[in-house]
Amino acid sequence: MSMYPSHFAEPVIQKDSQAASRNELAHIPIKAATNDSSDSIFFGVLQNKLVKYITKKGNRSLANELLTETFEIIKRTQIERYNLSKSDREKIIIDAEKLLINAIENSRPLLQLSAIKRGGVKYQVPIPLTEKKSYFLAMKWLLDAAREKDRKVKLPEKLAWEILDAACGQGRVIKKKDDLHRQCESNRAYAHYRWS
Amino acid sequence: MKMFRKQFVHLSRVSTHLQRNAIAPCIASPAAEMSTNVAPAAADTSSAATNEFRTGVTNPGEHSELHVAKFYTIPVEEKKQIFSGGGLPKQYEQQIKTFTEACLMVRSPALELLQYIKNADLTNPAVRYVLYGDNGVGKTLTMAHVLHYGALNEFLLVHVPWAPNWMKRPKEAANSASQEGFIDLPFDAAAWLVHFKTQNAKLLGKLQLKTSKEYVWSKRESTPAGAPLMELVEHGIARIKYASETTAALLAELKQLASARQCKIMVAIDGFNAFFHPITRIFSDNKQRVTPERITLTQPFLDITNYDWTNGVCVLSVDKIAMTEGYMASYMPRYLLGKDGFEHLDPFVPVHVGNYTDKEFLSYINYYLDRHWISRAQPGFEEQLKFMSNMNPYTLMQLVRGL
Amino acid sequence: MRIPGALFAARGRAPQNEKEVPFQEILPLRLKNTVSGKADSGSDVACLQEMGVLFACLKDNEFVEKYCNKEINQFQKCYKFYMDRKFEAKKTVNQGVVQPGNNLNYKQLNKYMRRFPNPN
Repeated sequence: MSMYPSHFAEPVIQKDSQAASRNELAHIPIKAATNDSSDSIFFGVLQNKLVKYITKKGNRSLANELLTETFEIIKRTQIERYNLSKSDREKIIIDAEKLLINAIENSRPLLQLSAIKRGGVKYQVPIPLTEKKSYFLAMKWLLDAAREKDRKVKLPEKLAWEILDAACGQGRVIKKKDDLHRQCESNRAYAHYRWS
Repeated sequence: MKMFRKQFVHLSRVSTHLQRNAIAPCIASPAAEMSTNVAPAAADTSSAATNEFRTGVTNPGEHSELHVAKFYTIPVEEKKQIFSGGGLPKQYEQQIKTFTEACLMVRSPALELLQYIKNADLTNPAVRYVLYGDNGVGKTLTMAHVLHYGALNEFLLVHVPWAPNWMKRPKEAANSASQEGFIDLPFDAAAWLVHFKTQNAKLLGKLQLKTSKEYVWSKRESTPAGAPLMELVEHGIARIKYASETTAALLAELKQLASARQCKIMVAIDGFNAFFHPITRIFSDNKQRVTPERITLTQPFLDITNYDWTNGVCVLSVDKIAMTEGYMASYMPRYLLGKDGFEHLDPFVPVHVGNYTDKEFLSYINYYLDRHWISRAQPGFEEQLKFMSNMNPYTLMQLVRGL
Repeated sequence: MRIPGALFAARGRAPQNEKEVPFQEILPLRLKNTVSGKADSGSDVACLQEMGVLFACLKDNEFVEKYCNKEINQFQKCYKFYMDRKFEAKKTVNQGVVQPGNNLNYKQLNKYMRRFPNPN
C-alpha cells in the first residue's frame, strides 16, 4: 500500500536522467525519494533490493556491510582467477555487481507450483510467475542457499560462492530452479485447473 | 575500535573455492566489452614500471621528492625477510596477496623521516622520531617504508609490529621468576625473538656480534661471555621460559654493541604509547589488572628508546587504537603518551602523518584501477570517493571494497 | 361424541377455498435493481498452449533454458499480455463509464439500472 494517491509519479533518482523527464514531470506531483536510494556509485537497484532481503531485525547497516564483504570476496576470487589464467582474460568478469545481476538472472524461475483443491484432492498446478515475483524467488533462493552453512563459515563467504556458482550457471540455486521446472513439467496435465 | 583492526580470515577459503571451481572459468557471459571501460586495465606488468603512478626505484634510500605519490614494489625476498612476522596491517597483507605484488606508496612523512635518518649524526645519542596522526592515515605503512630502508642499509632492526598486543591480548601470562611481582609473557617474547631473528639473520651472520658477559639462566643453563648473539636469540626461542629475560639481555647487549660502534640499530615500535597506558588487560595473582611497567618486556624496550646510547635511531609511533576506551580523545603524542611517556621520550622529533593529498589520492585510485580493484568506474567516481573518504587512506580502502 | 375420520376419508379432503387463503409475498415480485459481478471474473487459465510448447522444448533440451529462449519469451509475453489485459479490464470496470451497446459489464449495468429502477 502506498501512502500516495495513484496519480503521484515515481521520483527520478539518477541525476543524469532527471533532465530528460523534467518537462513531463513539471506539473505532476512526485513521490518523495526513499532514504535508501541515492545517486552514488554505491547504489544499485538490485543490490538495494538484496540488502533489504538480507536484513534481519531492521539491522540494515549490518546487511549493507555483509553485502559489501560479499562483493569484496567475489572480487578477490575473480582477480585471483584473472591472475591465474593466461589466456582469455577478457572473458573474466571482475565487477561484482555485474556478477550478482548475472547470478540473479540465471536463477530466475519461469513457473511456480501452487496447490489447488479440486474435488477434495490437492493438485500441484504450474502457474506462470510475474517478473517481480521471479526476481524475489531468485534472490530468496540465493540467500537461503547462503544461509544454509556451517556455523563457522560467514554469510558473505557462502553468499559469494553461491553468486559465483549461479553466475556461471551451476550450483545449488540453479539446481533448485531446474528441479522446480521439472516438477512443473511433470504436473503439466493439471495446468488447466488453474483458476483464481 | 575493534573493527578497525578487523582481520579477515576467508582468503584461504576463497582460494579453496577457486580450486573447487577450477573447471568453470566461464564466469562471463555477454560482457567482454565491459572490461574496456576500465581504461588502464590493459597495462601489463612489463609496462607497469613506467606508469605515472609507479616508480621502478625499489631502494627507499633513493626516493626523493620526485617519487612522491608513486608506488614502489618491495621485492618478494625482502618482504619475506622484513615483514613475515608482522609489520604490515592484516588488510594490507590481504591486498598484497590479491594484487600479487607488495607495493608501497612513497609519501612525504616517510620521505621526511628518511631524510632525517640519512642526515643524522649517529655518534650522537639516539634520536627518537615519533609518528603520530589520526586513525588509518598510514603510520604503520610509513614505518614499514622506513624499516625497508633500515633493512637495506645494514641497520639491525629492533621492530615491534604492534606493542599493544602484549598488553591487550597476550598468549600467556606467567609470574616472573627473576623479578618479584612482575609478569612474564613467554610466548610473546619468544615470538618477538623469532621475528628479530628472521629480520636480522643475515646481518647478524655478517657482523659476528658477541655477548659481553655471561648470562646464567639456571643452574645448568648459561650463555658464556663472547658467545655469538645468535646463540642468545636461539636460546630464548628454544627455552620459552626464559624468553623474556633473553629479550632483556639481548636489548641490553645491542645497546652496548651499538654504543661501541659495532653495529647500527633501528628501533621501530608501533603503538609505543601502549607502554604508558594506565592499565593492561593482564590479571595478576590477586585478580587485579597489572600496569604495563609490571610486565618484564616493558623495561628493556623503554631502555632502548632512551637516549643514553649512540649509533641508533628510534622510530616510534603513537596510536589512538593502542589505547582503550576512554583514553582515545586525541591523537596528539602528549595526550597519548601521558606525562611519564612524554618525559621519557622528550626531546623527540614529531612526524605528522596526514591524509592523502590530491595527487596521492589520484595515484591511489589509478593503482586500484590498474589492479582491477575498482571495476565500476563511472564518470565522476573519484569525486564521490574523495568526498566520502575525506582522503583518509583506511576509509578509502574500506569504501573501495564493494566497488 | 367424536365422529371417526374414516367417514370423511371416503369423500377425500375438501379443497381449500381460495378466497380464504391470504397471499404472502415472500420475495418481492419484481427484478432487483442490481446484478452481481461474480460471473464477470472469468477463468484464470491463460497461455495454456504456450506453456505446453515451453514444456516440450524444456523437456527436449534437458531443462537448459539457453536453448528455449524463443519459447520462454513467447510464454512470458503471453502471460504479460494476459495480465495487462486483465488489469486494463479491471480498470475500465472500475471507471464504470456507461456506453450505449449491448455488451455491458456488471458495473455499467448496475449504473444503468440505477437510473431506471423498478417502481416500488
